[in-house]
Amino acid sequence: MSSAGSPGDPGVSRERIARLLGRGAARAKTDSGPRAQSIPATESQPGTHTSGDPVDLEESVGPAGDYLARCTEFERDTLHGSWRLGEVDGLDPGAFALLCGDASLADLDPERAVYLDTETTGLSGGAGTWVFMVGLGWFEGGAFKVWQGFLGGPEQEAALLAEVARRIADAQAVVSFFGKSFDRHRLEDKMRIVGVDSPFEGLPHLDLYHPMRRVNGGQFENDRLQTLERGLLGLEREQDLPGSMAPEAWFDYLAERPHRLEGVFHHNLLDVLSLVTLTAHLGFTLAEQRPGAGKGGEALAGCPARRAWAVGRALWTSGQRAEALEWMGRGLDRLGEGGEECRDWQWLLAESLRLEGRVDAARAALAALTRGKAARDGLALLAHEALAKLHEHALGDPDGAAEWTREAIALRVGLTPRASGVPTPGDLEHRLERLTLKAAAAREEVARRQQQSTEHVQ
Amino acid sequence: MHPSPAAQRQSRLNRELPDLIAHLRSDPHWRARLVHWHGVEPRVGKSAPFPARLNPYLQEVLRSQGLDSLYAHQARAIEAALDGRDVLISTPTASGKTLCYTAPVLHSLLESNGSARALFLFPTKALSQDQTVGLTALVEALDQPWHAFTYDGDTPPSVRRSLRDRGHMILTNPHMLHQGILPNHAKWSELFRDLKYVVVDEVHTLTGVFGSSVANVLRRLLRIARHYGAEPTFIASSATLKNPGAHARRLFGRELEVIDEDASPSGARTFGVLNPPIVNPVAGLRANALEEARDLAREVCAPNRQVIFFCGRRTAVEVLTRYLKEGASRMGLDPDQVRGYRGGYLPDMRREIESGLKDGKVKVVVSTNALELGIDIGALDVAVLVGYPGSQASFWQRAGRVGRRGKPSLVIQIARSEPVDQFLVHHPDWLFAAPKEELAIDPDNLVILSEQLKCAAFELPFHEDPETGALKEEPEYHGAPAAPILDYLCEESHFLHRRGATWYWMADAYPAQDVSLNGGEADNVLVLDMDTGDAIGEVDRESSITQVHEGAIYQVQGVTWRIERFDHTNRRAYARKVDSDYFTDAETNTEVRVLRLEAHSQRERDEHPVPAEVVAAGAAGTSGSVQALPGSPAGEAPSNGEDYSVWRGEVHVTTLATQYKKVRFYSRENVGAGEIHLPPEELTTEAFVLTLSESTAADLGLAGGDRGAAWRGMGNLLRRVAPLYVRCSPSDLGISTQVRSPHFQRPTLYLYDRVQGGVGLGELVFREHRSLLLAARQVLVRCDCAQGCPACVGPLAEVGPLGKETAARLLEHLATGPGPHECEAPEETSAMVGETEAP
Repeated sequence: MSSAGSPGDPGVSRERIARLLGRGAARAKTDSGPRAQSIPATESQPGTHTSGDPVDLEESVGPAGDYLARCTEFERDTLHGSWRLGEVDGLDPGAFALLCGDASLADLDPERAVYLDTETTGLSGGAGTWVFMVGLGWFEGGAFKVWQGFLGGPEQEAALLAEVARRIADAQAVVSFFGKSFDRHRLEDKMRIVGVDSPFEGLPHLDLYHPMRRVNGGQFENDRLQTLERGLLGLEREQDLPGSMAPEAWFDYLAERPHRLEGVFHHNLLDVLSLVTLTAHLGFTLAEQRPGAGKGGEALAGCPARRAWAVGRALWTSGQRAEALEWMGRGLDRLGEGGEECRDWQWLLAESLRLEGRVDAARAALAALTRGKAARDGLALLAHEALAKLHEHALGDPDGAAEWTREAIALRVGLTPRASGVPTPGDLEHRLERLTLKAAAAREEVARRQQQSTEHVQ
Repeated sequence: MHPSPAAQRQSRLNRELPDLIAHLRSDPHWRARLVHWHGVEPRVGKSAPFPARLNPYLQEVLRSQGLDSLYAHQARAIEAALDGRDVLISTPTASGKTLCYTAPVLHSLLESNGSARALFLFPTKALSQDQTVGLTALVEALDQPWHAFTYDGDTPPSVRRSLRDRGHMILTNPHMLHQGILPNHAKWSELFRDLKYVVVDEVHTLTGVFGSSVANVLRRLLRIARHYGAEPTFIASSATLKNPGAHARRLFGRELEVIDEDASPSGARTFGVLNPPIVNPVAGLRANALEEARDLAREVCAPNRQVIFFCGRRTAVEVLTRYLKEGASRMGLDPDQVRGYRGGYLPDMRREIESGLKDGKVKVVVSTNALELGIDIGALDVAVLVGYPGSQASFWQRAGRVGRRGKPSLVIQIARSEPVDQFLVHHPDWLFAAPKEELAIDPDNLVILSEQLKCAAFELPFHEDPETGALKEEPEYHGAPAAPILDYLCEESHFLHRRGATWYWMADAYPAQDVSLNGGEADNVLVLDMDTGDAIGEVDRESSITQVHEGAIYQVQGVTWRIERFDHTNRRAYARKVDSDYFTDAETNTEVRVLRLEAHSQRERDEHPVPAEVVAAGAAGTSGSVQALPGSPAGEAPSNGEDYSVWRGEVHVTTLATQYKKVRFYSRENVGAGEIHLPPEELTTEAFVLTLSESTAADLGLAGGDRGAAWRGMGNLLRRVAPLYVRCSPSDLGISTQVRSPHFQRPTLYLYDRVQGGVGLGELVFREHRSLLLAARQVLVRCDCAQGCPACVGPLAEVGPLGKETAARLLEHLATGPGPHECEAPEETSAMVGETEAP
């Protein structure tokens, strides 16, 4: 083919490349789409630009070469929102194990963990996504230290990753927010490419995202870190650079244009600090209050009903059923009648009670579902059916069972013929028929026995 | 006394294949149609022992499965692969290619205690699933804890992880390698670290834009394997090719040892060529090939044999399947024993048909090319090819579906009214001689290379060798203009960032997602139902200006839609269903600008003078109004001088749609017209150029006016016979002709590659142009039409009353005599002379 040739070949002149690829600008999606996210800068965004290297960067030489980092130190009683960093003291790591369903977190010592948050050039993953900043925080001496490793250029990647791996491996556990799904994989992919062993294997990892969602989900507009820290920790960030603008800041820096890297350092620093206070918050979930400075404690921010319910469900899953029922009942009580989830929770609680053999409590909870204005729905029907089963099997009362079934049939008429997850009219009719026969047989049996005993007496 | 009809039917259904062949050769109806027969003697296979170094336990297990020895070509291929030599097995279907790669792969797993890894690339999902089943069975027979996994678009994300960690053999396709595996190589590092073999199946399908892209995907694969410390060996397979080594060199970027002597045995084979009778002598139209196939089915289909019909299009498969199911009882079959097979059927149904064919339950199958590739359906008895499949490799793949060991088989090719089909009717020997097609592939096409370099840079950075300015330690890119493209990607499109001597990917994007191996799909125009918003079709960028302009009638499966709006910027056309009694035919103006001429060959008039009687005939044909074209170009000798020239070069093509005609269906009368207002389509590409000197043009009667239509008709014929020598479809080539080109100042014909930047067709047509001229001449000479038809230069309405005659004179002259001799390569031209043409 004609296009083979060396770079000096007139066949592949810059002019020819531009001519042929020029049309590509209109052809390929890649040429128009990601362009705004790549090196060319846009000047209209908020935040301050600086030029040259970020301040206070220390250059270190590791076995794999140079790397850059910024170190910041905080007093333990530094206030981050309404929480102090030192408030991790006294938390109950059992809450982590319970709420994450991960036994390896039961002994997590927040003073010996490393708090991890990264900044990357994209969310898509893949070998070409750079991790250009790695924030690591830990307690040391009387202080909390934050080390922000930074790629001054892509050539420093191997050295930086080696140092990150070393520091993570030194810790007893990792704490992150969504890091099990994201940060860890970005780092591990990159480490595999440059030949650094992963420090994550076998290291307990507390990912705050899932338990936080479980305990506090649904009460704010989303479950992102910054939403939770505002709602739960009272932190209002000022002039924060959105994470989505981080890639551009780094691209600008590399291209030696004015950049917003100071904003990225600050953003990353705040994220690491929030990991600490969120950990503290989560660690006091079971106590339901923070110790507070010298006052007899202070109620934990968040919705108490949801918290109690989440703890109850987690306990149920872990097999601590008696405690679970207690917490679930507490959650339901706190929720009150009006709550959206009220009927779902009632149903789950009733089923859990039934499974635990708490017949009376189960009957009461189910009966609650059959009363009131809302009791025309599928759950009401399920409750009727469950009550029928309870009467038939647990209480030995086929007449009572038949009665609940008759009511269920009446209720079924008002529901969609093909409603899913609920018994069909045919199922119910069949059940009623069977129960009627069973009740009749039982009556006959009773009558026969009475006869016998009468005869016997006679 | 005549036997009763029932007895006749019974004897028809019971006859053996040789009797059937004898009948077809003697029966007057079929004798008139089957114009050529060709027999191939049965061949005894040549076997060879297992290579001594092949793992003894593997040998033992293969023997226990009834495999006592290998065919000689298998033994050679396995030997080479065990040696770590890259190898290409280029033999026909059913010659045992699969074992050539499974044996070395399993050997490597046994010898490495299960740590070796292998990657398999198949052109279709069905094939990789088929092969996964086969490999898994072998692993079970070996009683090893290894896994062979299919990794394709259907693999659920939850399974992908275990597949990455536990898969010893990953079977996938080029698309998944490109978009899923390579960009995430860190997750696949287990596979790359111990990658011993890369198997690439059916490499003859890797041509054109797709093949050129796959060649680059293989470059990326090799650099990633090297990064993890592996140097895999390639084991490739292909259909029989003209020049398999050259194709492999371009595809893999290195030399492969070619093994192309088929040592497998085969039964006696008979080939018949069926030319349907002419039904419209004026238009030169022949009876429909599908109807002929249906008639033929009544003779060849019977309970005691299995027959496969190959059709070009999916709709043809459905139509013929329906015909044959309806006629099943006459063939002594149950309708369920007749099945269709094509892409788009659900996998379960396809598996069921495949096993029905293998165990003999299915007697007749009608297929598209879906059954052309290596899916195991066992060997059948009769193959009927409805139309030439477009390439010699495809022809042999299809024919290879029949012929059981030691049993006779029959292949019948039905010709359509197409130049290539008709050429083959008259030159059947072309099919049976050695392969003749050149495969077009250009991994260094600038557009493809640059898109693929983006993907490669995303995966690993590139380094420059400061001494040479070329890439450092990237042998795959040797000779490719990679460094200047990487610079371009830094400076102009900002995807990369250069620091010192290294280019790094530096953008928030995942390039493989936006780069298609099939080329500019991103630019296709989606045709939408205006009322519902549903997609009803897709049109490629180049065709959009003539097919979906406002007012165009767009047809899908016989339903007519009128295009109400064409959103050119956003690549959407909005259509409304109408009951139209007309279709639309758009006219275009094509302007070709020569950018650069790279090679030139020329013949002198002295070498092959136009005979006096031809000159007279040419003059007579123009009714005494001969006018020599004014102004001979400077430098041409006045009397003799140049006869004709051919060139290879780079051109810029601008196509502007100007207006459209409304043409009534059937009657073809013109019932209206409209204007088209759309921006022109621009294309920079490689072209073959043929120019005729003024004197020769005048001698041959090509003197302007109507004769331009003859010049164009000849060009069209060249374009349509190109697939005989160049692996392509005619629509891959664009054409433009001028009776007097502003650039060359004489009759000029351009055949250009329709891919931006070209993928090698310009060069191949340049190299093969004598063969194309000769084939075109043969088609024209043998064509039975009076004044042009679709099977030669085109219908009378297009070429005019003298078109066929003039084209014949031109081809007679150009295709005979000595070929042109090479001239000094011309300087890069800076002349940017517009060449406009109104067809």
